[in-house]
Amino acid sequence: MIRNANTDLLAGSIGMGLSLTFWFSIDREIMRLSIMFPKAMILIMALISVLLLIKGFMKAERQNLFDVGSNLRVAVTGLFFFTWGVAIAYLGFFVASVAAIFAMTGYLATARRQLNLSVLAIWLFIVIGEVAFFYLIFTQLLHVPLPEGIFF
Amino acid sequence: METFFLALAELADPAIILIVFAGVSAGLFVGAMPGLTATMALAVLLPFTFTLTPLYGLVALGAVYMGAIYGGSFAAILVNTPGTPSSIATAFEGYPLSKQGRALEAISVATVASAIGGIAGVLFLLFLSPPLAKLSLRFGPSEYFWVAMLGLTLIASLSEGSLMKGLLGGAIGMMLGTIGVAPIGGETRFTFGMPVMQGGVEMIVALIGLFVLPELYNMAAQGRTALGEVTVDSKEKASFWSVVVRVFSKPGNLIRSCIIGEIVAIIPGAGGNIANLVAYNEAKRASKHPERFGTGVIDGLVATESSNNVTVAGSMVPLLTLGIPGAPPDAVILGVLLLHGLRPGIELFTTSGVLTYAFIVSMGLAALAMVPVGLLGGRLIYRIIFRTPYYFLVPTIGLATILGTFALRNSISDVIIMLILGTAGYLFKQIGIHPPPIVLGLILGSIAEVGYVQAMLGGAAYNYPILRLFENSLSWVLIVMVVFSAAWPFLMGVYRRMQLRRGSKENEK
Repeated sequence: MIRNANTDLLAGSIGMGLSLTFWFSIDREIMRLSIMFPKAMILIMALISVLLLIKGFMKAERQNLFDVGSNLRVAVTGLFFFTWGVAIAYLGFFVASVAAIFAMTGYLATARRQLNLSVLAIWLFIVIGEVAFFYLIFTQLLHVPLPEGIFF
Repeated sequence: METFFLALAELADPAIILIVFAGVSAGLFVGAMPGLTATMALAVLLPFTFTLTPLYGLVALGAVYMGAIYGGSFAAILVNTPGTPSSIATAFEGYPLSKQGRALEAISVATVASAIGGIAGVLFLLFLSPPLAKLSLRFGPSEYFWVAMLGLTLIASLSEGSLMKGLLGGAIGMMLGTIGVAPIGGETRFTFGMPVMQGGVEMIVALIGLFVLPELYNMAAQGRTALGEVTVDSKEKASFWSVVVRVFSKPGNLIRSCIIGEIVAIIPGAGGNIANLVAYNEAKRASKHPERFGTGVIDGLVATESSNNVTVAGSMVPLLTLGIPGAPPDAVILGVLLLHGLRPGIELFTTSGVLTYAFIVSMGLAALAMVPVGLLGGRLIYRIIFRTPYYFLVPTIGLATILGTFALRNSISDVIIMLILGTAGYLFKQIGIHPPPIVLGLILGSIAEVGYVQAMLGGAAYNYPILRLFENSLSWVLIVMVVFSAAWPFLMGVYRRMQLRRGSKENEK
């Protein structure tokens, strides 16, 4: 994992990459009115990126990256979030949320304490209660229809 | 005046009072948690306001905002960890007071000072907004374009890290705002072949993702919420009235801090995080005993807590008049205004005057509500916070985040976009591109685009239509401000280097 990096160079490269991505996805048949501002902004973004790249080569700002805590936990948490988001469409909001929160709580707790079956069983009930609370507030009180999947 | 009294009548609704107390309690709860900012409190609690009437929704968010800024003082006083960036200087005096066994006295002082600051901010907002809103009538397309640019350069230069990266963040935000249907041409752009992108990136989706998710990733990385248990002496007593008398005994300190808070609040991008430090510094400079600061001086605590709460309502001056958020949490309030079809500007004070004034005055009620909530419920709320482990907190906030995003348009795609933006926000933060400039870019992008395109159309008679942007004197005033705000970090750098050089020369002598 990168610990100390030239962040000017990285930021400039990302900016330039985004500028090129947006520039090449401009539809050539689009009307001038719809594209004049985005074109100006792409040029400004590219200019800022070039300045950052120049600064990166001449007087770089160096910074420690990903140096706080566990990066594995961040990656796994991100994976949980995305899986949760996608699973809602298939399993429904309630089931997907209970599964995701229970799994995430269990995983994150391993950094602080040891787990056993009785603790997990109690947590499962807490999680079901928590999700049910939000589910009822949104569906019954706020009248927001939440996705129903293969179960309910 | 009639509008104002009608607004007061609207607030006589018992439901409003209930919402104010619930909002302040919820804000206090989130704000007291180190790492969870006022912006995050608003973003997380936003979905609960979707189905409320515009007034109820705005009152709730105003109360949450007020409570969250005040809540930051709890952690600062009790564990020397500012709950929000607005309470950094609170820890300088509050924690030494706690160590002397005067934690409850410090909390009482913070409560009273916060309430006074909150009310002062409301008064500033009431008196400054209408004339500024009238001035906004003189703004044409080119002026709005430059106002958007000013907002961007200000937030880029005032936010953390380098100006260039702040500007890049703003540009990225503006480009995100161009995805979807063009506001003037009407054609769709940058959908990358995905039909779901035709609707563009919804501002609130981006707000929730960029402000909340990076904090959740941080908590997950650290494996904790930055708090340890603290004991508060239950026998310690701090008479409320004696505290009130002490806070008011130095009106100069209070008035100066409130004015500093308001000046900082009006500058887009600068909020309580800057106001509390500036006010603390000025209180120290004005004190007869500056050497005592840092040992538990009440004046320092009053300065920081009153100034940061002024910014809550105070930062809404540019928001309600020009549509430019004065501080990151205001971006959420703007989202709610737009969600209900309310456009900032003079109309907000005329056509929707009753709603707007009721919202403003409700923030004063929230400031008053902080006193009973903070003094009676504060200790209970804090105990709950200490006992909620991070491994429950992260998924629970995640649940509120996902629910809120979904509830906006009943769209799973929005949830995925929110997760992508939030994860990208976390990665960008690592290299120094922070979320506030990106969000502000997204908000100001549409104002800038409409202004730019209309100015170009208006300048069609010129050989170079872009000259239309430089035609009016008001535009030039704004251009000078843009250049000055962009040059500010460089000027400060040169000034600091000169000071250092002068200091080293004097040492050599």
